[in-house]
Amino acid sequence: MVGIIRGAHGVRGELRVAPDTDNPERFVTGRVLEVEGVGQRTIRSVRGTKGDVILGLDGIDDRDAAEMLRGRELRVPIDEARRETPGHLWADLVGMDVVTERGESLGLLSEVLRPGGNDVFVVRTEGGSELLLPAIDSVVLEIDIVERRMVVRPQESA
Amino acid sequence: MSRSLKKGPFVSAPLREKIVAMNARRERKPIKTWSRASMVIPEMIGHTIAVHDGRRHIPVYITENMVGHRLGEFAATRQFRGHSRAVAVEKATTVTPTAAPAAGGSTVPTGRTGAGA
Repeated sequence: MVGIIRGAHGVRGELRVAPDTDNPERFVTGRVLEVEGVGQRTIRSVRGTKGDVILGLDGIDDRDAAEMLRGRELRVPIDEARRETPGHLWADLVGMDVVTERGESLGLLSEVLRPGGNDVFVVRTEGGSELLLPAIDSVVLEIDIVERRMVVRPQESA
Repeated sequence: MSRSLKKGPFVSAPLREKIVAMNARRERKPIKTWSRASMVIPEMIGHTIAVHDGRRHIPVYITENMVGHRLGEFAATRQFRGHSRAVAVEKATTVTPTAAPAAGGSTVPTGRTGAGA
């Protein structure tokens, strides 16, 4: 999912979209997006701000048609997202096995937080507790998307 | 009214002491703090500070462009869970590169120590 349709804008079928993507090139005229339950649509026009994008899509030409799409998701194929988004997709990271350099299992990566600074990986241990790991290269040594395994070196507390 | 320049930036005294001691030992270990109001000072660059968000300590790796901001700015107290499955969004994590510890830390003067942790 790259965004969600919040409603109609104006009378020419434009859509107000809340973006949910790290790819700055996602909303560009001429690109194709899949509208949930409707199918693929080409972007006709883009304006608005970074947090509130106003999109015109081919085939959606009046306010009534735009209003019908309120709440629908805008999507792209996962392979396209992998190719075009810098870094590791959260969809690929969540559920990974987190192991130490010595091969000890710490648990499963349950969530990725973005609290304001670096991203933080939340690891759910077998005992049910949470282990928070900063996404920095001295802690996260290796991410293997194919094996779904992350090798980490947890920091000792001071 | 803004804080007097004479006092320098506020940094919790125990936190500042730990940072200075670790810089002297050229050590990098996460430091837990509840002091969200402490300002990021140049001595902290390269350290990981676990800042309390009201529930847990969020590990924050301090970089140069955080200097002058408060620690609390990097450990949000509210998490927006979204209206759909959070993992389905096109968001990605890039692992932040870190630097090796420098000898003795920064030499930038930071003024007097603030009160309380």
